[in-house]
Amino acid sequence: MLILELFLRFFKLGFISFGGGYAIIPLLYKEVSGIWRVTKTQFANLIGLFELTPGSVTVNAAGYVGYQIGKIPGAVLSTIGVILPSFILMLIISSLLKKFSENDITKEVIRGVRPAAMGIMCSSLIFFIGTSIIEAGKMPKSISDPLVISIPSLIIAVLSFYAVHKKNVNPIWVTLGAGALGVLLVK
Amino acid sequence: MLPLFKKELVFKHHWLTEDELMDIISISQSVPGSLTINSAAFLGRTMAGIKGAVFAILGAALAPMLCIALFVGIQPLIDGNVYVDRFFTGIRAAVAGLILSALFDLRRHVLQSKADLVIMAGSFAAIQVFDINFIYIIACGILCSLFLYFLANKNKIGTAVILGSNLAISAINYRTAYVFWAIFGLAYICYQYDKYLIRKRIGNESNDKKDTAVKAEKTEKRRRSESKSTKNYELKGEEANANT
Repeated sequence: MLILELFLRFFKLGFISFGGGYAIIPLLYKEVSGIWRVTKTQFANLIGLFELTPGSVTVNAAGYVGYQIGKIPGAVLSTIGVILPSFILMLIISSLLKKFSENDITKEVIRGVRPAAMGIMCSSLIFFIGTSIIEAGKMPKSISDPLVISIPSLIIAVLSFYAVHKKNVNPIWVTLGAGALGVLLVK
Repeated sequence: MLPLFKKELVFKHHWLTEDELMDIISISQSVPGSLTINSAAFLGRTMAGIKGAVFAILGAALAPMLCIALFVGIQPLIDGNVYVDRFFTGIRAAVAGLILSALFDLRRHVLQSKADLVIMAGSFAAIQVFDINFIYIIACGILCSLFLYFLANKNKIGTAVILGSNLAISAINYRTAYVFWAIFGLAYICYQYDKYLIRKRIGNESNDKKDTAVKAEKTEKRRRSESKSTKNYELKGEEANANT
């Protein structure tokens, strides 16, 4: 039964995973934490790991979480769940390709979805800042709480942003380098 | 990603032309799901029917699955190690940087008008502050975009349908209502403001045209008078020459 719920949750996620992996991290966390006990930091670690492995974050997360809950059947079923929406949509679209790409309404729909996905992406940025730069577990609950900032994390984040955005370094190398820096700097 | 696709599909196997590949990529990007899976499904379908799509997706999903299996296998060995923890702390910080960079990249393509910015800020607030279900957020973005489209085309029925469905959603989930109507209102204001700016610009342009026309006339007159004067001068010179 748990496996079936897993399937349904990932199926739902498959329909809204616009704009690559980053846009759905908060949603993914919400859906996953409802069925599997995981802290924010553990989850952020997993997302970082999926950055290094081939394939998109969603598919990887479905495989991993599915395995944790239902071993191999769980992994297979949740992966199918997350892939099925794009499979169905692509089958429909490829059969009416012309109508899809030239229709004004579909264009407008896509134009509306993208900013919304960007908004969710900002939220996933907050999620990662909360688990790395503002140290995990010390996220201030009210304004009077002190804000603990981890300087090494801040340095790594700024460096990786600079490397990817200005120098166009491959994200995989950036992630690996950041991991190495983490081993050196973080105490 | 794209150069790899090009090398494999266009130059090595000759399954596609470059234009077809670009079409597939652009469509795959606008459909939910990851780019690899979507383009695999699309390509499989166009080349070998539904069977092709199934096998292409299997191929695209197998490598990630194997990697995850590998990680699950070695996870007991590395759990709790201090250095592994530090490594992951570094990676978490790097992902924050990567997301920021992705946002900066997207900003140029996605945020074309102020209304887009409103949708973005609204959906961010909805998920971060109001904790609204993401399906409503995506729906709000779509509805808002269609609303502006119908407004711009003066399609009253379409606008009414959008507003009606917005009302229906507000009735189903009253907590979304505040955010939805706020986004709609702000987007409407942005739309009117943009329209006003465009009108102003058109007005300015026509004024500019008048100005330039006047200027052109003036310069032409000046040129003519100058040429006249030069002619006179030349004539005078010739006369002077003749006189001498």
